[in-house]
Amino acid sequence: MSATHLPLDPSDPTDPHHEHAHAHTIVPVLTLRLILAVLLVFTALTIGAAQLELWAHNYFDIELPRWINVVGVLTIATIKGLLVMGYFMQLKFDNPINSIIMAFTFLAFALFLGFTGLDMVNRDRIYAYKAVLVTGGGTGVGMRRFGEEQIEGPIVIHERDKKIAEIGKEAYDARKAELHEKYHGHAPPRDATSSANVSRPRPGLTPGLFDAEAPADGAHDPHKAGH
Amino acid sequence: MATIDTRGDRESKPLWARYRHAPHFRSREEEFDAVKTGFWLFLSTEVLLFSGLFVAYAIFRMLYPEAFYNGSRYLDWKWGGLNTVLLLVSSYTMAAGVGNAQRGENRRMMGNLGFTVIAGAAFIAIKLAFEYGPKWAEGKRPGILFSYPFATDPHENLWWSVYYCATGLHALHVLIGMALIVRVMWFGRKGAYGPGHYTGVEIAGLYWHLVDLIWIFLFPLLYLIH
Repeated sequence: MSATHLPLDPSDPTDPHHEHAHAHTIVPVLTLRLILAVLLVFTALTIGAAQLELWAHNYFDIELPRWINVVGVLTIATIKGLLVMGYFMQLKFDNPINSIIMAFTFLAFALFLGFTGLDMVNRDRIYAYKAVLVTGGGTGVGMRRFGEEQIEGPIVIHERDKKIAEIGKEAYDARKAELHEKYHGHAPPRDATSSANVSRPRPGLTPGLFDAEAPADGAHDPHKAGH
Repeated sequence: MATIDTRGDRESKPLWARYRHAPHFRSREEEFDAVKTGFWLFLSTEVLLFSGLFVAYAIFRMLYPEAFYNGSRYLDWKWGGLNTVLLLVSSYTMAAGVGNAQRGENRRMMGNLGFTVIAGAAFIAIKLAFEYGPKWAEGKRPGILFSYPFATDPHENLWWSVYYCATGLHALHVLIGMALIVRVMWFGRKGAYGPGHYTGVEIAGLYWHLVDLIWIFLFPLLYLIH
C-alpha cells in the first residue's frame, strides 16, 4: 500500500484492499476428532436401539410398538446429520446464507413428505365417497347423499317410491298427469320437423338419399350436381 | 476464468500463491464464498433428488408395512454398519484434509485424501461383494426382475426397487465423490492448494460429506427399522 491510500476500512466492500479483510475459519483437528467420536458412538447407539426391539421380545416377551424404534433411530440420524453439516461441512462457521439454503431445502422436503403423507392417510376416506357418488359414466345407480343411507337401485325409482309412500298412489298419478301435461302436453310430435338442435330427414326431398345403395345412373353424384 | 499466474517469480512461490481469481470477483475470498454458496445450492438439489426416494420409501412403507418388515430383515446390519463407519471416518479424513490445505500441510492433505478415496473404494467393494452380488444372485431384484421364490409378502419386489434405487444412486454419488477427490489429488500433488487457495479441496469435501449425510439416513431406514 502506498502512502497516498486512506486507512483501510474493513467494512467497505468496494475497497480494493478488501482481499484479506476476513479469514476463513480453520476448524481445529481436535474438534473434528471429537465430532467423529460422537458420530461413531451414535452409530453404535442406533444399532443398539434397533436390536432393543428384538431383545425385549426374546428375553422379556414384550412387544415394543414399531414407532418407538423408528422415532429413536431417526432422531439419532438427524443429530448425526446436523453434526456432519455443522462441523465437517463447516456450516456453523460459514456464511449464514448457506445454512439458510439448506434450511429451505429441508422445508421443501418436509412439505413434499408431509403433503404426500396427508394424501395417503386420507385416501380411504375419499374412496368411500367416490365409490358410491362417482361412477364411471354416471349411471345414477347405488348413490348416497351426505348424511343419508345408501340408495338401493336408481335414484329416480327411489325418489318416485318415496313420493308414492308419502302421498299415495292416486294422488301421485294425478299430479304426474298434471305435470306431464305441463311439460310434455303441447310438445310437437317427435320425428316431425327439424329444429336448430335436431335435424330430421324429410323423405322424398332427395330421392334415393337414404337408400342403401346409390342410384345406378349417378344422377345425384355430388361432384356433378349443380349446387 | 481463474488462472494460475505463470509470470514472474515462478520459482519462489508455490502454485496456490500464484492463483489469480476470476476478474469479475474483487478478491479470492469473494470468489471462494461465491463458489461455495453456488455449490451449496447444487447440494440442495442433490438433497431434493434423494428426497424423492425417501418419500417413495415412506409411502410404500405406509402401504405395505409387511413387505418392508421382511425387506429390512433380509439385510445384514453388520455390513451396513461397517459401511457407515467407513463413510464417517472418511468424512473425518476429508474434513482434516481441508484443514491441512488451509494450513499448507500438503503431504498430510494428500494422505488424508488418499485414505478418503480408499475408504470410498472399500465401501463400494463391500456393497458389491457382500450385498448386491449375493442378493442379485438369489433373485432379490427390483421390480419385474424379481425372481426370489421364498418371499412371503406379495409386495417384496417393491422393497427391492426402493432399496436398489436408493443405495444405487448413493453408490453412484460415492463414485463421483471419489473421482472429485482423485482430481483434487492430481492437482494437489504439485501444490495447487494451500492457505491462499483451496476452493477445489473444499468443494470436493462438501460433496463427500453430502454422500456421508445421505448414508446416515439411508442406513437406519433400510437396515435398522423393522
